[in-house]
Amino acid sequence: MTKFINQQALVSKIKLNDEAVLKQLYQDNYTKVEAYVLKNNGTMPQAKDLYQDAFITLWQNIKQDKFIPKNESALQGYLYQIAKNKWLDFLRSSRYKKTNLLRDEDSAMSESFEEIEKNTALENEAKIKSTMEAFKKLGSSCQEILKEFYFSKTSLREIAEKLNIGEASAKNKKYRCLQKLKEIAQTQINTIETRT
Amino acid sequence: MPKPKSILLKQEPNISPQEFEKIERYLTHSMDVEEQSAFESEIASNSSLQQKVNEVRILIAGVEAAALKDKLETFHSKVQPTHSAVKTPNTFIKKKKKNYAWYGVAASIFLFIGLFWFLNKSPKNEELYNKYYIQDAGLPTTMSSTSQYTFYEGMVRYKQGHFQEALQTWKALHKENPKNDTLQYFIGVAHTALENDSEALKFLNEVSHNQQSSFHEDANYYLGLLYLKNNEWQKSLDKLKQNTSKQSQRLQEEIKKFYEKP
Repeated sequence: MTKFINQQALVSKIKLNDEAVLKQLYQDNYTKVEAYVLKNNGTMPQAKDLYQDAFITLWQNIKQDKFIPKNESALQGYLYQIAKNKWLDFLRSSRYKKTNLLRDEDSAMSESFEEIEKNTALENEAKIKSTMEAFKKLGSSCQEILKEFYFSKTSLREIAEKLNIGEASAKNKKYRCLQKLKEIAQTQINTIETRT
Repeated sequence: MPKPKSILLKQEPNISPQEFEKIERYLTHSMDVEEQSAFESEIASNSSLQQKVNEVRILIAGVEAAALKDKLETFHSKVQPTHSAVKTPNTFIKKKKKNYAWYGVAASIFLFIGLFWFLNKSPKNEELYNKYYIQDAGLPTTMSSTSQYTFYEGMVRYKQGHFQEALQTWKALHKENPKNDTLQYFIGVAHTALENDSEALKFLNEVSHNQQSSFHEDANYYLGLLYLKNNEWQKSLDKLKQNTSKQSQRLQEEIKKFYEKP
């Protein structure tokens, strides 16, 4: 898993949402991130949230070809770096004002990473997050069919078989579920806008 | 009526199923080269289509991310024991793990002090409590011989901050081994963390009366804090004297400075 030649393979498997690979990547790298957060005034629940956030960012960047591995531990290093930057952002944020607490040796490096992060991902990230929120409000049958198709890459035919419906109905259902998701996301945004 | 200026999924003409299918095939790389390049040039010249593509892209990305997030929860449930194995051992004095909840408490107490300083000087004890309270880091959970499995299962819960669950596990064991000082101690510190002070006092005092216990000093430290919190500073000092750590000495000095004024 850590060999350089495998990094490319790893990336392609991540793109396909290969569960075993995602799981191993997740579990192999958690401890290091947790140690970093705990060392820098964080708690364990914060470490977990931060890590999951970073992991999703990594995965999104891979999918958008924003990350190309350059050495044998590039992916792991990148994940750690994302997590670290997110934690630095948090420490600098208004929720946590003691900005001078963390001035470590990596701040120069994180600065440049931060720029890349901000310029590329930030806008889309916000939109995706809002869709993720909306997803939680979908009915479970919609959630299931969308997860199966888009995440697990299960074919429509298989989904239709599982649900005991025709393929065309499955396709239609998927379309309607996505429409529903869009509506919920839209309502959320409108609510936020009227509130502010 | 003012139009909401939405950043996402504007109420533009809806995407028809056919159109959606095409966009989806494009986004999931299911088009052949020719179709793809034709579609790409169409996108380039048609801003409405461009917007639709982006809309669908975000929807799909959101679905995938939400699905992944669910998966991460299951991945994480298996990560905990590994993590606990590498935690630092039971050195509560050295470990400076900070808990934001306590910052909140400290902040509100600070406010409280500001408001009621002239009426009541006692909040000093709470201030000191918060300053000197550090949650016990727990025991390393590397060993997992079956006989102690339940105990360490509780320890894993404890380290995750699930004190209530840890207590449930340990209390069941405590019934069987009421004299076990390790159990008494950790039940005590879990109660302390939950601010069940009277329960905490009960269990920690058991350990405090047991000179042989390896948790004797630590128990006394927490007892000192608990009595301090309860405004019983004499008792607090008695207990703190039985803990030789620097932390304890510093706290004793602060208490004396504040309460033993001439």
